[in-house]
Amino acid sequence: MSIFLNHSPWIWLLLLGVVPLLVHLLSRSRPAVFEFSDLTFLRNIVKKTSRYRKPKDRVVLILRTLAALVLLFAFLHPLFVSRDPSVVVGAKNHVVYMIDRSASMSAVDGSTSRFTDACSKVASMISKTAPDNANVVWIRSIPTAEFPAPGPNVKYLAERLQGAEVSMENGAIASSFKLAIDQLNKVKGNREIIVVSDFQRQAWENVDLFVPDSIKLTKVQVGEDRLPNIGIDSLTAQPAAPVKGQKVYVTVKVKNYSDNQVTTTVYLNAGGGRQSKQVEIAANGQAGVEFNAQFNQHGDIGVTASLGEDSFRGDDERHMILPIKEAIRLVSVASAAESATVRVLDRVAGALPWLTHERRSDIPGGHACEVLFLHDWGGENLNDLVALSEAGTSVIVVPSSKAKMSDLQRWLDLAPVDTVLSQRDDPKGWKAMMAKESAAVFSIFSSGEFGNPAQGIFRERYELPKQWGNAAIIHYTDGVPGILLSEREQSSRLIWNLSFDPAHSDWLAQEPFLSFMAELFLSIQPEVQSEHDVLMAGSRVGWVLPESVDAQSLTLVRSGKDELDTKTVQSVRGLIVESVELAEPGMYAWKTGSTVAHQSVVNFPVSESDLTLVDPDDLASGETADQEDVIRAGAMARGMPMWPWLLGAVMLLLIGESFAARTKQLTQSTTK
Amino acid sequence: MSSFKYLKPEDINRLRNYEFGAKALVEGYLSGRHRSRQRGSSTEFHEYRQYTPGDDPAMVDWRVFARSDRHYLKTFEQETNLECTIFVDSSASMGFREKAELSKLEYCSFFAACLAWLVVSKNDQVGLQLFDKDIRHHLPPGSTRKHLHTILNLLEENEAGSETSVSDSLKRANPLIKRKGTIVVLSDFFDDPKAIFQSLNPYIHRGFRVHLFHVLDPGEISLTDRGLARFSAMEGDDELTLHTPSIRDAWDEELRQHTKALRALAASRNVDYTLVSTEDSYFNLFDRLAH
Repeated sequence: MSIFLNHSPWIWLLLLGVVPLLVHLLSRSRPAVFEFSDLTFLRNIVKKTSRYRKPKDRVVLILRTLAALVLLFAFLHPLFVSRDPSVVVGAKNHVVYMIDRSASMSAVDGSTSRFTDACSKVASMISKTAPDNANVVWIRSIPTAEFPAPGPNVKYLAERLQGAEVSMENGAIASSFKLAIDQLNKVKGNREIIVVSDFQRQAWENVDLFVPDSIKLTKVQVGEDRLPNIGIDSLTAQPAAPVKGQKVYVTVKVKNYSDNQVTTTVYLNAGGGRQSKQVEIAANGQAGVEFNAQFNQHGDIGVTASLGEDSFRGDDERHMILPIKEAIRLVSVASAAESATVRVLDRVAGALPWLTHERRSDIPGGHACEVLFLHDWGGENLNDLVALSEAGTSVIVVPSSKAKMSDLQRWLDLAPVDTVLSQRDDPKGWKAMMAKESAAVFSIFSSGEFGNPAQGIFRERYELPKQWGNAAIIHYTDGVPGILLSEREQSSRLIWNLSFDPAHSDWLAQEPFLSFMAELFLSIQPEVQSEHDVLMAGSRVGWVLPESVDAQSLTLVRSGKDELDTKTVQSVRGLIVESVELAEPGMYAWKTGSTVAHQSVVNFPVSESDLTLVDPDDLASGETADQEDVIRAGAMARGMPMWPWLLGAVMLLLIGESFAARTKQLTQSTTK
Repeated sequence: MSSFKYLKPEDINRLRNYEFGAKALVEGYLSGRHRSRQRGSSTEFHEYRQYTPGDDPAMVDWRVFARSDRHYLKTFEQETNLECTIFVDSSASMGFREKAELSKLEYCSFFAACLAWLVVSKNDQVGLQLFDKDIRHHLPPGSTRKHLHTILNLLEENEAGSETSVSDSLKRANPLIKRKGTIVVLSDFFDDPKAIFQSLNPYIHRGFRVHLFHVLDPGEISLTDRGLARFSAMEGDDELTLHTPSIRDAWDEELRQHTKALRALAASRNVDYTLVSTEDSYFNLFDRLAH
């Protein structure tokens, strides 16, 4: 048979083998003639029985025809394979198996995971097709290959497949293909890439597969379409860097990737405490669960949100590190060192354990404080203040008589006015009230339980234009702004027009004063970016070492697991210590001895949570096949013995014949 | 000794012992129902025999008793008016022979010859009609030896012919038979039973005694297994290719329905119907006549 396969022009000769069969099927037998007295009864019998005999005859005919077609197909099968332009008869076969190792492959369809199924299919394909050279490329966030180039040691590949484990990371499909193509470009002969993946929709839908024509691409899908799943989409805290004792709102967003409404329990582990809440999530919907937490110790707190029972476990946990600040640093800049308002702020800081107050005569640079309070601002150093604000310091200015209206207008980007800033005194004083009850600073006052935050009489004020009222959070009863607030990306800018000098106001004697000041400093404290890394699974956990830390004494430990191997890399940012292996989701600690010097968090990639699959046929390149097709095609490419096919077909024919002989009662009625 | 093909000497010898059967045919049936209207002149002295208990005392010859003091009965041979017409189906299908020694036509010819001899031997009249789709020969009843020889010659010269229609032939023969009597029809009856009996109705209404002998070859009674065979009709040009093992049951059922219809119609009209296999001796048919 291989003679025919190696000489394709001869392959048509195989058709001659069908001739006897066709002769047999088409020839009409002429049985011996028997003279009989009368055919009336026989004709009646034919008439009566033909009603059910004819369909039976047709079935027999169809069976015979099918049997003949199967036999014909068995003969012509090599022709279908040899039509593949990428197959060169006699050349070596080089196959790169690309196995998807991304997180969605850990989903379990039935009793085995998609990844296990993929590995066993590839192992089966390797052993049954026995390519001359093979390699395995793992589709991961950073793709890897078992050999530098396709090699003959398929036994090693089989062993590697047996011990392989899925990774909880994204798959970099394009770079994985590039790696596979680069590998095949190193060899000559029949070259093929066989991709074994679940073809998860989010990962594959918009992938532009480019494979050269000289390389055959075959796609083998594992897994069922769409497994139900619930996953944590995000974990956030507000504020992101709270002060110790401050109430923190931790929000866990949970997504339901199924067509049914589900109820699940969300757990929050933070600072040694554990909370849980049950949540109902609509089909294909998302729900947010909010937890309240308070931390009385400063430092980095690991926060982990997790879900109850779910079939796909990878995305059921999410981590974050919450930096708890010891205090908000408030710096007062005042010309008169013993000004009354500075003393008031001293008293406020004394009453609030999480607030420190420092008085200075000049504006500090860098991140010396979170809140800067300028007690007598005459419009000087406006650019420095803007820069400080943009760098992440909230700034409160109390205008002095030297200040111009234009300075104030520029400070908060307010509408320009043509009036002059003037200060007024009134022994009767003015009253003030909340202008924006919805502002964060009034979260405890909006209900009225804590009274008016600006309760009291103010006998001195600047006549700020009422048209700036839309920026005011507190205004006087006659509409003159009391406190103007402009929230910026990382900080807040304020103009203070409420005197708390005891000589001009009895505000500080009012009960709500301290609460208001506390709420104000908490709400305007700048949003601080965590110094701790939040990484996606599949990246290397690294840390740019501060000069004070010795790389030799540093160890990387994953929570609850052993120490991980690290390596040092010199970069423009400095010396980086990073993990050798790609990281799995979890919390990682850099330790010097027993002290945690730095923490990193690795989270599950959200895009892997949706287990919906795409039809491989919808992808632009390659052809879709199942494992058996690949094995058969591989076997044909290296020459397949046809005799089992022929024997099978002959057996089928024999069975059909015997069946026909048993059931066939009438064949035909003819008239001369 | 007989030199006719269908009347063998051994058959004649055997027929002599069938007197009772013939008597039944002639006396038990015909003489009872066809007694002459002029009773006195139609009787002739036959013999004296001793009285046995149960005999009619009126039959005792009292003159003899006076002379001999013994009771003798004076018996008379009654002259009957028996006219028996034998219908022999001579269509092509009657030439069929598969398992038996004789074809159906030969079998019927043997029986017809014997019956004719038996009837003539009793001085009754016998006629013969050979038919297929037409009446090929009609020989009116006669009782002479010459007439018997004519019948035997006709049977001998007769051969299976073309297609048949029993009903048509019976219909056409009705006006040819002038006097009522007995008709014996020998055929394979491959015809519609209702049509056959519609043709027989005029005979039955005229008072004929009708005997139907349905003569079939054993190969027709039970279809022989020939595997896949092409059946060619002896009557006509039709052919059918059939797998005989597959249709044997259907054939049996078809034949059973046909004979059942014939038997039922015969019973309803007081007609004697007998299914006969050519495998059996044709002398068995006389037993049937004697019933």
